[in-house]
Amino acid sequence: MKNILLACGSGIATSTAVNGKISKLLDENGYKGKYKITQCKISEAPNKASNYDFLISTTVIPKDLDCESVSGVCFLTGVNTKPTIDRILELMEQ
Amino acid sequence: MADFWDEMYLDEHLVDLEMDEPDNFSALAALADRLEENQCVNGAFSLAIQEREEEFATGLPLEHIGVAIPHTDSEYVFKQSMAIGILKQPVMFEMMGSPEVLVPVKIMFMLAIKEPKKQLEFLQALIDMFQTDEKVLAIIQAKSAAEAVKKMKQNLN
Repeated sequence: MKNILLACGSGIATSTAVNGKISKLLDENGYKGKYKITQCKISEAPNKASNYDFLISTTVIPKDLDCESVSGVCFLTGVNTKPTIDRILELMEQ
Repeated sequence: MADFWDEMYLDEHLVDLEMDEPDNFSALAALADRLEENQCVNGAFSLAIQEREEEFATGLPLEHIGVAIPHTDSEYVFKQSMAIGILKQPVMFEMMGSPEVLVPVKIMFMLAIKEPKKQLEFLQALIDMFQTDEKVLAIIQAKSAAEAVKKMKQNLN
């Protein structure tokens, strides 16, 4: 089971919008039931990071985070998603 | 029409097809004023949305066009709604997640969200529209505010 932290500035809009995209991606790649996504504000991420496998963020990622991280902005624009998708699938295998 | 439009107010009074603003913050203020004049948000929304933009930029470079999705906390919102502002000349927004990148924004979708958890389908439909940005271009090319509303509701269905 992978614990994924999903952050945006407010925890309001963009993390909600991206959540569905990431769930669909993971389900389609055989990870259905093998992950849990928790949404938060990015300001909460540094304190929460050590309890998660990795962070996906639609805003600037803080330095010195206690977990791996990847930007999720491409899931909003649909532009150049492949490197991010590859990275997320790689993190799922670690 | 998709059910989420029952909970997301948009009419032609919340659309400005010809915004003429020198920069992103004046564009944000003008569009926020429109939401306030239509009793969708309170008087503190405008400043809150500008401050939020400064801290967490919302510019998004789509394949062919730059958009922005300014939003802020629900405490300023009376009525869940969105306003659409089309800039005669694009204004620069910092890019979401990469503030060092400037995005020339032609259209703003300003979100006044009250209950984010109930807006899942709306928000997902919005970003699905961004991924086929010809649909966004169709809104920009609308000849009237009413037509822009119609296109928007057709796009998110």
